Parts: sequence; C-alpha cells; structure tokens
Amino acid sequence: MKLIHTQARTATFKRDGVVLQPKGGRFSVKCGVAVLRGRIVPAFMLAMGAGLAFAGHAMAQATSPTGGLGAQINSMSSEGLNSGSEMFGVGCYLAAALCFGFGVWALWQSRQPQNRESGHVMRGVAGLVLCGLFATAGVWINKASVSASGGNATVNTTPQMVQFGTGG
Amino acid sequence: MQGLVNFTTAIADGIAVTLPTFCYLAACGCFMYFAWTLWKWSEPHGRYHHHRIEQPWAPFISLALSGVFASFPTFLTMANVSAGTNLVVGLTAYSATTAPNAGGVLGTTPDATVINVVTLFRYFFQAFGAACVFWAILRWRGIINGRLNDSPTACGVQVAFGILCINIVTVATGIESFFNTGG
Repeated sequence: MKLIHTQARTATFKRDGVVLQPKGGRFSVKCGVAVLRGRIVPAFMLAMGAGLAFAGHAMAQATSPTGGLGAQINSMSSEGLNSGSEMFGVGCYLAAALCFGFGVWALWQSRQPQNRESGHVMRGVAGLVLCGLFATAGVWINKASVSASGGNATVNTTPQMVQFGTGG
Repeated sequence: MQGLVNFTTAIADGIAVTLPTFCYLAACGCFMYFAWTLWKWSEPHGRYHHHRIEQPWAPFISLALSGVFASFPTFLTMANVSAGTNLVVGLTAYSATTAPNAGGVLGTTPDATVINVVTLFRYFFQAFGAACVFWAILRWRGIINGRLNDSPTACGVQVAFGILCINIVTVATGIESFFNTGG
C-alpha cells in the first residue's frame, strides 16, 4: 500500500511540474491572453455602462407593463400550483389507501402465531392513524401553521404574490 | 436609470409571485415526508436500520416547517416584528408593481443619494430578502435531515440578512444616520 501511495504522489508532482515549467510558447500565449483580458474587461464595462445610460432615456417609463416578467411568471406559477396540487392530492390518496390496506394487513398478520410479538399491532394502528392523516392532509398543515406562526395557512392553489407593507 | 429600475422591479414581481408557489409545494412536500417517514418507521422488521431512526425528531420538524411554509407571510411578519420595523407581509392577487420614478435620484448630499437608490430598488431587495429566508429554511431542513453537509449557523446568518434585506430602507437610513451623527 505504501509503495502505491508513493507512486501516486510522484505522478501528481510530475504533472504539476510540467504545468509549472515556464515554456516559451505557452508562457507568451498566456501573457497575451492576460493582457487582452485586461483591456477587454474595462472596455466591456464601459460599453455596458454606456448602453444602460442611453437605454435609460429610451425606456424611461415609471410603470411596469401588464404583460411583463411578473405576469409571465404568474402564469407559470399557476401551472406549477395546478400540477403540484394534483400530485399532492394523488400522493395523499395513494398513501392513505396504502396505509389503510397495509395497516389492516399488519393487524391480520399480528394474529398469526409466528407474529405475536414482532410489532405488527403497532404497525396496524400506525397505518390506520396515518390513513386518516393523509386523507385530511390540508387540515393538519393548517394546524401546523397555527402552531408555527400563530396564523392560518395562507398559501393555496391560487397564484398570489407576496406584498410588503409600509415601514420597511 | 429608469429602465434599470423598471427591470429590477419586474424581477421583484417575478420573485414575489414565485415565492408563494414554492412555499405551497414545500409545505406539501414537508407534510408528505413527515407522514410517510412515520409509516416507514412502523415497519416491524429491521426497525433499527430505518432511515434516520436515530433522529426521531426529524419528521416532526418537517411537520412544523410545513406549517411555516403554509403561512410564510405570517412568519415573515413575525420576523419583522423581531427586527423592530413591524412591516406587515401579506399575499395579494398579482398586479404589476409600478416602478418608482428615478427622476430625482441625485439628492443634495451623497448619503441622500444612497438612500434614494436603495429606495428605488426596494421592491427587489424586499422580494430577494424573503426568498433568502425561504431558501435558508429549506437548506437548514436539508442539513438536519442529513442530506446536506453544511453549516446550520450559516443558515441563521442567511435568515438574519434576509430579514435585513426586507427592511432595507430602515437599515440604510439607520446606517446613514450612524455615519452622520456617530450613532
């Protein structure tokens, strides 16, 4: 193991050594790129600044257009909420059905002689309780909201936007 | 300058519209995680090999966070009360925010100009701060669930600075007056 480790380190060091050798051609190319980059960046910034300055005159309006970025994302949010809520509903429905089915099956299995002391009864109880929990998921999320922030759940499947009051 | 203000206000609108959607999806996901983890843990065979069985609080933290995400504006309002500004955060139907007029951005003094610029871009700062808080909570949940190897303290810092961003005008005015009068 030690021999392999030493070889690996040597190989790495050699690779580093090759890179660090100041070969003439490579060095001059790097210098050229660095100098070019040094000139391009200020020129680019100047051009961007000038563009913004002139664009400020061209787009001088103190209102947001009704079909702007926010409106587009509002439509996308609506789609996301629709699909997300459908998926959540399907997930809860299936999970409730699974918990009920397997919970009852666990209770059935608990009566088998070989399963008397292996936790099947509690799995059955958990399945039935979780079946109810999944079937009424929204109610429990609202209860969690009241516990967490003292208010009812406010986000829902209607696309909305966060609004900030005065005083900030 | 006006074009830039319009553009950032439009981006702020986009963030403000996206956030409740992500909050809804996160609340649903956290609840599913909570209940499904409890069901998985009820498996009698090999109970001690279950995922995160050594952290029995993990699903219940997800349940609490589900409530936080479902009432996220109320949570932000509480945080703003803690920050001392009492800024109320709510939800409303989407309508395009009217961008402030950038005409008088140059104040009589440099520090007044800074305040003017911050005020012009405040919609973006506020929406970005709220998104920062949301992201920090998600990240913290990933850390305590063992999915991310990161610093919980950094999440706390991110929440604090997110709240500061929401109250950016008060913060900027306070800093400006501190430099003027020495506190």
